[in-house]
Amino acid sequence: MSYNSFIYLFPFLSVSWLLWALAPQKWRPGVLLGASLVFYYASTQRYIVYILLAAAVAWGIGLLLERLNDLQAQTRPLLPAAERKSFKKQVAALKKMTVTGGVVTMAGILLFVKYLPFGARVLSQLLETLPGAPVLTVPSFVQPMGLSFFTLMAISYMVDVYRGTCKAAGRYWQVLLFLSFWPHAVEGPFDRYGALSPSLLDPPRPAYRDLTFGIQRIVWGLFKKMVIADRANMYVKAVFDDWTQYSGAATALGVLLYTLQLYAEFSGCMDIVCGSAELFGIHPAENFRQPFFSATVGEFWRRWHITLGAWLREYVFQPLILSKPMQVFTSFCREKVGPTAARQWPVWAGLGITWALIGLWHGAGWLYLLYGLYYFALQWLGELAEPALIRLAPGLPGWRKTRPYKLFQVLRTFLLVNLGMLIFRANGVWAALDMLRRLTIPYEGSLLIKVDARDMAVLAAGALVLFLVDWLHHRGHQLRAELSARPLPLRWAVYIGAVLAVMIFGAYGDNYDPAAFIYAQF
Amino acid sequence: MRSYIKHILHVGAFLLVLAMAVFLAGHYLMPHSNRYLSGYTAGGILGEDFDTIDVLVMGDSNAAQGISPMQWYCDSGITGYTYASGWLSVYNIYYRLRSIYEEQTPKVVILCTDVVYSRMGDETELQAAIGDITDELIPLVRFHDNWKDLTLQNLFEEHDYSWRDTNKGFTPITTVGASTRGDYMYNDGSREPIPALVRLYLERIVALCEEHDSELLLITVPASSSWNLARHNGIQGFADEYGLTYLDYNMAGLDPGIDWRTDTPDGGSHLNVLGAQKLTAALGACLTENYALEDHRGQPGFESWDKDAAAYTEIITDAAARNQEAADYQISVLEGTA
Repeated sequence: MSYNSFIYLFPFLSVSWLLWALAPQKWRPGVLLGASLVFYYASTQRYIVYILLAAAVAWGIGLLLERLNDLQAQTRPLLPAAERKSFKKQVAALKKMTVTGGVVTMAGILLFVKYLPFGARVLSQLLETLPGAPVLTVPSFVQPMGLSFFTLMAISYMVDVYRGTCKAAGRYWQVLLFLSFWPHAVEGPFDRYGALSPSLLDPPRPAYRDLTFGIQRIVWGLFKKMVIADRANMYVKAVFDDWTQYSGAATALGVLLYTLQLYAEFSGCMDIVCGSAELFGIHPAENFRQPFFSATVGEFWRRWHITLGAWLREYVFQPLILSKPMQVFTSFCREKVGPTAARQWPVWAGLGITWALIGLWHGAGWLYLLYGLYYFALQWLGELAEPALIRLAPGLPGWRKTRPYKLFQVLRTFLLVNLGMLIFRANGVWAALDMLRRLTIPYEGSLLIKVDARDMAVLAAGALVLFLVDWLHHRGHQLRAELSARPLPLRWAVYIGAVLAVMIFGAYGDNYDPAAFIYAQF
Repeated sequence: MRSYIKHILHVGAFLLVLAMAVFLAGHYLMPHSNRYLSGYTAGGILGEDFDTIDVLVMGDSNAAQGISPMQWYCDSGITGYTYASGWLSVYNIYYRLRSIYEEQTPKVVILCTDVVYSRMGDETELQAAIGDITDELIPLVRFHDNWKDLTLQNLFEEHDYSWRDTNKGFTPITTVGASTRGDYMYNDGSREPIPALVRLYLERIVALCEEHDSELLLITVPASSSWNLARHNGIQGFADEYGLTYLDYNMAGLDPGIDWRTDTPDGGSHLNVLGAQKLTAALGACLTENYALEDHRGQPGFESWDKDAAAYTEIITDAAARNQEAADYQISVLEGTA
């Protein structure tokens, strides 16, 4: 059930909302759970078993950790002072074993289903170089919807309970609701149990403002997805799928439109899901904050798919940096190279691993690994080059505060992100390299590839509207709140205009191939 | 309580204004000519004089390329129209039939049954149903892409729905692409069930025809690549249940003489002119034998039909000759003499 389908928007969402609004308060979480399971089952049928299993493991581990905490709290004061320390140590070791078991199980499900075929392929290719080595064949498994999202959210839940940053859920259905909550079940955002559970388990009363604001955000998301992303897809698909036929301006426009498509589609999807949750008074974490106003690629990734970056920073990068092997590596750097290396090299190693994981999270393949490492290389080289740049241009720190330099930074980041998008969308590593080469070859054909001039006009107008809305948000405007204070004729004109724009200019119906949400496949 | 009522009234008023805007926009986006109302030339039925069509054929591309009503008029004076276009579904057909009844009173409605099992892409049954029904109920959804044809000049022009199709909904195809499937109606004893929502709308079509005193005849156009005995059994079961006549021209007993080497343009999905002439003749014979249909040739009020018949004869003679040429070449290729 796609988020922009009629079935989702009308029968599913409206019936769920009515049932939720009419239900007594104590039944409302039950309505949300029922709707989530219906949504999940309608989309994946029997593969629902994966999420049921993941919720059972996370819930069990959470309870066990809570019991161990209780045991410690109750038993420790009763023990003689001499035994308290060793008891605390034993409980800590047990807790660590428990959470490790949970994390390994969850990561195991993800690795087994998503990455085992890729791993076997890589191993097989390595073995091919040895004479008489066996050829490994591993069947590929059907990946249940949202696997990469609910497994990581389950890990964050268990680790948060372990760290004591959130309380364990007392009942299985509470964890199941958190993991399967339909607005974040397909493409995220990666919510945290501690942040979402209060409104999820005890939702606020139905509110007119939540209802209207939620619908407005859904319509805005549909505009991005159906008017901009799906129309750009026609050009993008032609250029990337048949890349050897195009070069120069045609390829460059394809890359540019893919960046527009991915941004409009992913952020549009987030608008639809956050708007859907807002109808029920629930506010999932935001995943985008006007990323194309970023001055650096590092900042871009703090504004793009925010919750994935935050998840990896908190549950991979930080534990990695503080891990024993990394401390050994730090000592080694200090002794063998020097204090600067001891400060920088472990961080770079941690960043390298984290960026590789960001790449691989998007898919099991060399291309995705290259995508992640591309951003690592940009940041790493940027830091390495910084001292040399300062030496070459001593006035640089001063220029950086000027407006033209800030604009230059934004444009530079935009260009680098576009190159990253080329890698991300290309049909393999060699295709990506070939497309990069082809960018330098002039193109003499028409730029209207699978689209006409009117499609291009709609795309340009859509991109302009998107830019203006992002710019106003960037400047601190709260557009929905500000609009709600305007006179009724103006408000209604804007709302009706938005709905008509989606219905008229949306790329749907017989003349278009329906494009699935890109991030839903991850 | 007062604020609840205020909010409900507010939402109601907004939805009313929105609905008006949607229907107004839908009106302006409807094609300016009935020629472009539907795929193939189905829209031409709106250009026919009221109550002149005695036999209405409804179906998808198989019907549009396989049944030529003008041949019936030339042979026996029966007036018919093939209202068919690519991927037309049972849901579309129900709503289109309802609107056709506003202008025509067909005595016989022929429903081509391949629409019962055809579905576009990987849509689920529910998705297909909702998509098609929305298309029919909200013109803006169906015609939204027509914004590309709008100009300031034609935006406020009156719609002209008087275009008539000489071929009466039939689209002649003159190419040949042999089907080599062999026997596709072998008996494996199975029956393909009719999807629940499709069945519901079939029942609504049966009721609609009864309501308008039309006799409903179910037929299946020969299609070696998409039809089989399990589907035949499914339709036969429905026909038996509702006491309808069902003629499956894929069955050996009714075979109009289709030669799958020469009578299909695309490996057995559709019929070309040679195949259509055979099927139309067989169906025409059935109509004259079993239904009391008037011979309208030379009758007042049917002058345009006589004129169209003359034009049609020229078109179809030329098309059949070109099709025969392609068929001869296909045979020579298959026999290795080309």
